[in-house]
Amino acid sequence: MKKTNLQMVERLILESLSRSEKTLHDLFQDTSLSYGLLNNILSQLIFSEMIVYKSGKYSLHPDAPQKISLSKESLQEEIKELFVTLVNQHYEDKEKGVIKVQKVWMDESEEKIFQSYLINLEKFLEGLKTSSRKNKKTQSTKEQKVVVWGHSEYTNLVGQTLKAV
Amino acid sequence: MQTQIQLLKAYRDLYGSISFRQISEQTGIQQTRVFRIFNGHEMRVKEFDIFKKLITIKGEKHSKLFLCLQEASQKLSNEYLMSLERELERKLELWNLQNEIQIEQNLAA
Repeated sequence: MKKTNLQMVERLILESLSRSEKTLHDLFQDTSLSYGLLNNILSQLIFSEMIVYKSGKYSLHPDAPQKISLSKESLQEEIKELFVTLVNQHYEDKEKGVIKVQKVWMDESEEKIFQSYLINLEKFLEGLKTSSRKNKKTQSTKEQKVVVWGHSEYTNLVGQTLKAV
Repeated sequence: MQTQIQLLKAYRDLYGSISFRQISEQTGIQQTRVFRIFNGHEMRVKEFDIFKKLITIKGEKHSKLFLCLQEASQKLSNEYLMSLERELERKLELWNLQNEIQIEQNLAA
């Protein structure tokens, strides 16, 4: 059964299991999700053949990657949810969720400087991914920092909102 | 008693299969008392008023939502309506994950 899209909590659990098989308690420690919620989601994921349960441990089903829909619509929904959640988190507790919005004019040279900063940021984050693979066993999935960024011209954004309706 | 049964049914229709503990938190009525009310014990006037008020509040919120959806279905683009549908489906799926209903449905299937 192909899953149309993943909830953020489901993705968290699958990411946790992609690192290693785990008991229910291990998952609780790695994700901080309550036992009740974990039990519900794990049952669903077993039913969807995304994970298996054997000898007291949960692990990814060998066919799990094929079962996740990577359609444009499903990815779009997940990313939109991420943005909305981040905005809500920011307004609930500014220390737990940081979001900044700036509207600026850039000339050609300033645009180039801006692009180089973005490239450096991306390289820095990619570098962290590589180094964190070495510390795979010690870091929990829940401790990952989710970083989002993006930019567009004002007119494009306004045009998109008008198009959306 | 018939009025009470209808009231509790209307409450359940609007608020779903939430637990007695959740009903107790929402109404301020003791959990054991909530259990007795839902199992046939006669409500006190104050308890009746609490449930009636909750139904009215939810009913008012619902009516605005349904009116908006009705208007949206006539005015907004098909693409937007489909994205709204997907968003609501996701929220409902998440609600089900948190409230165990999905598991019961799968077992019944």
